Amino acid sequence: MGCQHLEDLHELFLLGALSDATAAELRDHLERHCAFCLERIREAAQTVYLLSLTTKTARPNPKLKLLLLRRLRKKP
Amino acid sequence: MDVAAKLSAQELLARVAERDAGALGELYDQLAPRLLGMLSSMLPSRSLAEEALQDVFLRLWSEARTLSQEGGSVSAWLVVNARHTALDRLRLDRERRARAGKSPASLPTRKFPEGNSFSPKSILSAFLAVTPLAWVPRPEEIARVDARLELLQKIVQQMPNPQGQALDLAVFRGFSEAEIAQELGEPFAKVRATLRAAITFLRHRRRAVVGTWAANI
Repeated sequence: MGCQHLEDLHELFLLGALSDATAAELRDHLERHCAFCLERIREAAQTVYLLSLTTKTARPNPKLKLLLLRRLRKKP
Repeated sequence: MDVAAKLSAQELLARVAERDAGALGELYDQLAPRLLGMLSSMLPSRSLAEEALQDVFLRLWSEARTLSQEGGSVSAWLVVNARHTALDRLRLDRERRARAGKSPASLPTRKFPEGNSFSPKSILSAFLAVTPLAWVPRPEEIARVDARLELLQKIVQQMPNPQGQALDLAVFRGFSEAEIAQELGEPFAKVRATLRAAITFLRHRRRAVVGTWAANI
């Protein structure tokens, strides 16, 4: 089967907005390494990145950074 | 870390790949406020958003070497992985409440459609685990978006209202198509068409602005 019917779905897939059945169909297709759709999913990630930048920023509590650094020093 | 403070996100990623914890701290300083803003819009509490933020930076610590070797954009990697971390937490919250027979009190305005599956790991999450880098844009592609960011943000704001409203629910609340249909009281097919129109609107304008306008539009 071709992949024209998946053309408009890549951004919604990366946003996690597709129904499970549709997301599974696109995932299965991508896992077959369709070059066109892999290029499209990379392009879609740029749009998802852009959309993420339209939120307000929120400054984390400084203690969180110290906690993060402590936790990662315990990781291999 | 005076030197690292002047480095770009990609240069810091290369240092993180060599197990430089200070570089990860610098990367955190650069990108965490943006990620926490997004996570706070998706998750029902600040504490959950902060936990998700920690998780995604810990995962970056584990995957930095591969991401750096493959030449993927660390900014894009963090944004998409932060999103799927939040979506997995929302799914787990739904599953826990469904099993307990409780309404989703932590999400007071959110209703869940009948027949929605409560799998603890989303299909997106599984895809990112199996194909961890196939979707990651190149740093230069993200740099082009960053360079025209002000104009691109204006374009997002110019989106027709029904499309913008549906897309906001997907982007900032983590709603699926079915949940958006229920939230808006609209037929599923109409919401699906509206979301796709929103994405087409954005894709065409982004291509035009960042200079990758494709012939197959």
